[in-house]
Amino acid sequence: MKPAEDLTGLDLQGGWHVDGRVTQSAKGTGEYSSISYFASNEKKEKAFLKAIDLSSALQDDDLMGKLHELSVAYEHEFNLLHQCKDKRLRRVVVPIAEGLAQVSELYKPLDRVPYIIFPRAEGNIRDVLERWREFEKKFDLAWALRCLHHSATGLQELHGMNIAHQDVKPSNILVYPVEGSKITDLGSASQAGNPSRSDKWPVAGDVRYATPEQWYSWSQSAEFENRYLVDLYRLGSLMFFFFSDLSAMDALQLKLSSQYGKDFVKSDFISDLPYLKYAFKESLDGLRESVEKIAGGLTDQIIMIAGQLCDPDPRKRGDPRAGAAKYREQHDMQAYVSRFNILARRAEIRMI
Amino acid sequence: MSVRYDDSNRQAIPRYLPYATACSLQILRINRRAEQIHGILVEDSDARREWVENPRLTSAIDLVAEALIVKDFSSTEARKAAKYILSKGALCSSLVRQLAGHFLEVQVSTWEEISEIPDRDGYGREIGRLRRSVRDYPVNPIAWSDLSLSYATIGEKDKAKDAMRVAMGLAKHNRFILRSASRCFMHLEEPDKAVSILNKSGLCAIDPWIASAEIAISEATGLKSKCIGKAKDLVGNDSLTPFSRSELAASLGTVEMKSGSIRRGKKIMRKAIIKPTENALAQVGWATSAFQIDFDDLVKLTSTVPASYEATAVQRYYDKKFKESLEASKKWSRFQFLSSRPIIHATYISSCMLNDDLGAIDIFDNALPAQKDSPLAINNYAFALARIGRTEEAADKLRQCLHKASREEGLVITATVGLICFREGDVEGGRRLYDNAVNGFELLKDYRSAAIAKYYWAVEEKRINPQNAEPKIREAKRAIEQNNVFEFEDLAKKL
Repeated sequence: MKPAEDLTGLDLQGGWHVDGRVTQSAKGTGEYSSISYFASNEKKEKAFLKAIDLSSALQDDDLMGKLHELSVAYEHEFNLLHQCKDKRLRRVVVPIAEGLAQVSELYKPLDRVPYIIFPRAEGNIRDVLERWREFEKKFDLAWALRCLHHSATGLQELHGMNIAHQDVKPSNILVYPVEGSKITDLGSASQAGNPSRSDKWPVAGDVRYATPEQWYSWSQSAEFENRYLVDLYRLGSLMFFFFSDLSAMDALQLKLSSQYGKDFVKSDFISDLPYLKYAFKESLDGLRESVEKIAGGLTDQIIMIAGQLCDPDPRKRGDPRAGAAKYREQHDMQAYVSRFNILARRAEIRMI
Repeated sequence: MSVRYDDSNRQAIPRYLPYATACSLQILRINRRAEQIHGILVEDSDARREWVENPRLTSAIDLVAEALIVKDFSSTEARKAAKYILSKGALCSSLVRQLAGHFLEVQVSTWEEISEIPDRDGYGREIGRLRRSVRDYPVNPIAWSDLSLSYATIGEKDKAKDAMRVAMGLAKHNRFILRSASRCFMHLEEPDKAVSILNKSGLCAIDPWIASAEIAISEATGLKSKCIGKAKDLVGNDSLTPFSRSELAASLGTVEMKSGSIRRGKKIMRKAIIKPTENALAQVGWATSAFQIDFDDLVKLTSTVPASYEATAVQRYYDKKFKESLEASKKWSRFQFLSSRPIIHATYISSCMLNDDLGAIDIFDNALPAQKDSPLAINNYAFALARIGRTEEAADKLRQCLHKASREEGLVITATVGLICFREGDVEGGRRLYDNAVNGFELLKDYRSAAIAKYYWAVEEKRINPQNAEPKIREAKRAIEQNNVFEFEDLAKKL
């Protein structure tokens, strides 16, 4: 057993008590893995505790070097989270407490486990969609569009602080009963002017939600802004997930594989871009088929947004009007915040 | 008289294909052997673990999607997951059902037999679909290229050119677009532009598909290729797959043979048939008859290389298996929307070798507008019409194409007008025109065509007066024999 796996029953600073482990295997968040727990306090507030597992360093030949790496990565995320907390970001999950948990001395020298406590969510959007599908047999369009609006707002807030999240995916959008949806997990995030190790990775975050240019390890430039374009793609990928249960990259791969009889082999990004665009258009047509059944008159708007956000060519990604305007950046999220808001409103009105 | 096309200067000019066809023929496949990767397995993945521990729709989708990305199509668990997805039916989105269905598909040869040729309305619908596609997503160069091909197919040359310009603007360094564009500009009779876009792409030195197109188009249009030297390096580069070098080897081999180096050309051409494209195979097949050389396995290759309709049609023709040749050329015409060659070949065989003028008329009537836009195709059609008595229609058709005909084609048309005169009772007019055609061919030293004209003249003489036709019949038989017009040998004996 690792020290981070032995927190159940502990009383922590601030009156928090570790109730028990969340039944899932250790989860990688960027460079280190963490163990999840349920926690609560005397005010009956329920929370989610993330215990940082530093024990992997013990298996490394360079123990000190590895420990340093892990602690730097943890510090980086911790620092970003606190910046978000200080700025009172509404659509990003920020910690409510943190500290070091003292576990048995048997674990020395790793008997003090760093932890972060977050407000407990109902689940993530994967859980919500699964519940809809398995039990409720319905799709709540207004809720889905509101969730996309919240996610876009969360990204806009992060981008406003020069932070690129880079790991937006269904399991990283948490759902709260009153406040709605929020983005979590800054383990793969980067901040302009604040270098981190993930800056050097070809794909920061979950590979299955990677962008086409990341799949080819291609970058138009070394500009930090390219990372915001990754966030745009992943936000669009959430749309694919809501309406078709697949990520945008999965849908793209499906179309490529179908066209090439299971035998598509990539060459280089620029040469293959026309094929990617063709496959993307086909996947967009597949998405339209699903959206039409649910969204009716809102379909064109939804498909247009998915088309702009998930454009395989990062140079064309995003709101075309933002690219044309001198005072707006290509990765400007405002247009999508507004559009998702309007779409969600229209869907909510339709429900009345 | 009905004739075949002039194939004295065949080149492996890139085919103008819809993207879906190019994909299934693997024309776009990677060049280098080292780039062919082998699948990674999903057996140790988190997605598989999650599916095994908790078999639900979400975990099934995750596993199948991951297995697709790493191309682990044999994973038992992933296949189970795909079946599970399909069992859920309408509970899944159409994309997810497609994913599961595609995953379980048996991987066979990707080439599917071509379907029936669409009628003009069918092309109208296809154009409508593509126009909607480029309106929804205008930065899709392949859709623009397909739209250009569809426009060219129905004879809308200006629109085809405009659509191809957009495709080029969006992807001027992509192999598919470059080859399609160069073929499009050839069709639009702008060979300089076709060669220029290939040279400007900067890919001639590194991409055998592009180098091959540049050489073939330059050679076909009398321009000087700028990449022969680089092409030699590429053909000798064994890190490139034989398939990707096949058209280049065929083109380069043709250049060598035409310059007189038959042995060197043959050596290069051997590389073209290691794993040929249908175009490379047709080129090698042409070289065997043009330069009287032999290659082993050509017959076998025509039955194994996908879409090798042209090679089959030509080979069966030389083997005097005319019915098989006709069937292959019908498929060839459905495969090559812009080429009039399959129509000329099929109508010639149908009318002359199989004595089926109605069949020839049917072939022409069902051809696409771009395929009918050739004086020889129209001539063969008129020939068939005249022989079944529809002489007025035949004359009308010939009038429409006369202004487009070259000198040689003009002589063919003259002979056909001679036939019309005979059939309309103007015997002297018919004789004069046939005589003009025969003399014209002989002046051009095209003795083969002269022999065919003599044969049909003799047929007409025999039809109106068998006794007086004897000298013409003898002359025709002699000409057929002397000029090795092999396909008419049996017919001549029966005269």
